[in-house]
Amino acid sequence: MCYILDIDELGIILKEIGSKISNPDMQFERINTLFEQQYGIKLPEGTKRASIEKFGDVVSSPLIMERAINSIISKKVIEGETKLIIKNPRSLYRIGILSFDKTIKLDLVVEGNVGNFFGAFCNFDGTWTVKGNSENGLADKGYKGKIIVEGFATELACQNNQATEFSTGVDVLIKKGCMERAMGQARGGRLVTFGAGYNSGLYMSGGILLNLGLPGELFGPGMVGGVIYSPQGTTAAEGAKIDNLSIEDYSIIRETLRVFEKELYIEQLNDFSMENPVISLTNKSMEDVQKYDMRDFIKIVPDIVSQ
Amino acid sequence: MCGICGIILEEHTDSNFLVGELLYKMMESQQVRAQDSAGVAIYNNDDTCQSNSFASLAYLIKCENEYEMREEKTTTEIKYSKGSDQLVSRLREDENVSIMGYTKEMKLIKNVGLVRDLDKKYNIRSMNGTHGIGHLRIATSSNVDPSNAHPFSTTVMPDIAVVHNGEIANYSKLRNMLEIKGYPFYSSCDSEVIAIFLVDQLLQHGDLEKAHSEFIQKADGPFTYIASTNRTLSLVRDKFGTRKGIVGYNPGSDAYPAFWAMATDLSALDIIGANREVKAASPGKSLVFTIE
Repeated sequence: MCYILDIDELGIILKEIGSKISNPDMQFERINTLFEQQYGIKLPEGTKRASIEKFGDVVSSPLIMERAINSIISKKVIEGETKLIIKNPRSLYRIGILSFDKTIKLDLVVEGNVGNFFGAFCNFDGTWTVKGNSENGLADKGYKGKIIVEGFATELACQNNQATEFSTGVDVLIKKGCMERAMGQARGGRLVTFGAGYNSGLYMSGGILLNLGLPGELFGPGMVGGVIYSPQGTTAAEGAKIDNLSIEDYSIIRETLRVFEKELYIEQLNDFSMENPVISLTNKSMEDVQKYDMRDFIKIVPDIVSQ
Repeated sequence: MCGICGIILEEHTDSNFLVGELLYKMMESQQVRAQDSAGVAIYNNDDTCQSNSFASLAYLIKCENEYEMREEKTTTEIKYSKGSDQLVSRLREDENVSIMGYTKEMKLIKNVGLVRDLDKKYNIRSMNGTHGIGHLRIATSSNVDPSNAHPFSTTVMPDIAVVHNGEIANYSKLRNMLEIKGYPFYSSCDSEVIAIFLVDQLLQHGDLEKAHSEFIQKADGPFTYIASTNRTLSLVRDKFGTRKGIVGYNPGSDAYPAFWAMATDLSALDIIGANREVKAASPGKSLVFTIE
């Protein structure tokens, strides 16, 4: 069983309403009538007011669209749906932002790009896959879950990643790499990325960042916890220091990669250790099979003395 | 949360390149970031009316609570003496006029509202050229009116334009410094200081990359800006990279030539197929693209 939500179908409804009704209040009333009939959701008045204020009307407002998408996903989860596919997502919309107090079960596939804050506050069992790119704030303040991004993520991926007494943090794989300040202020969770921008690990207090891309610049400013693994040549910012990998680090890297063993086609992961430090994997977003000799990597940890 | 974008041909092969159409798409994809005002600067050096040495002064004039854009051609060759020429002096006295800047190869258009409103009024999608920049503004400091909309230009040097996302925290200090040197300002927006600063630098040494470096050193606060001249497009980020700035490349096809694009959001690059060689511009650095 899998529910497919085609965002273009929502767009057609809005366009048709826009072609027949020009009054925003009446447009909104009609949208809610049709959305209730077809999807069982009702949008709050606030989305109407915000849409008119920001976009001059209701039918062309991305606020309407993104609220509708998130409401439909939430409704399907409440109804017991555990597999969802979103078609024609466009990166214009902030989707995948749900607000469940308890951990939900959901496998979600988004067939394209997502906008800002995809997976913010997420708390789920399952895997969410983005077939395209993700904008700022991927999995912001996420509590639990596993997210795969097949393209890029821009800034602030996995920031505020939460590990609390009730949550483990979110595990994220970004296949084409992410930009600045990944894992900023993270308390937990794991990020495996093929490139990370300037100031990644900013104020990090927990969690693991494994960068398998090019060496990064000024990682870990003000970090007080957690660990970053990155190729030699990566520089540490103020408050962080570079160290060599220990036996324990090899087991941390192994367990971090284990989360994405299937997605990265990792070979003989169980054999990976300080004595056998080469990992072979296939990131299909890149051109060939990649081999990583972890002796070429360093770790970045808090520089407690200088703090 | 402003949205900025720019586009430039890799080589000067086609002055009829659909710059306006592509900028429109990029801006529309970033509209969710900002809705207060929109503006573009588009360059076309094949425009016969601008092929002589005379420039046009672009300005906004308030007519019954609405702003209209006007251009007035100079009848003699202007010596860009910090905006103190006769035309500028005359228009400055009119309280309904807001001066935008001198243009030769650049078409500067801006207004309050969404990009679709701008297109409805000025048909920006039909504007061709070699390169251009666009801006979507959400006001943080100065008023929401066309004079505070981007791009910002100057009356000191024609065809320079700047769009900016962020905040110049020491704006007052930089503005005072430039006003003491005699440069005129026409808005209360912090972003205007970037354009004037760059012009001041260019008049001193003529080196655009050095001008950007100087600005990065002198300016405080979070910023990313795109600056354009009649031959260049530059993407510049503050020392800490606190505002986004992404570059991508479209290799072209039989239907259109190869070009570079830059924007705040990745979606803006993706929507025009500039999704090769995608990278964030380095913090504290400028990326300058030149069209020969």
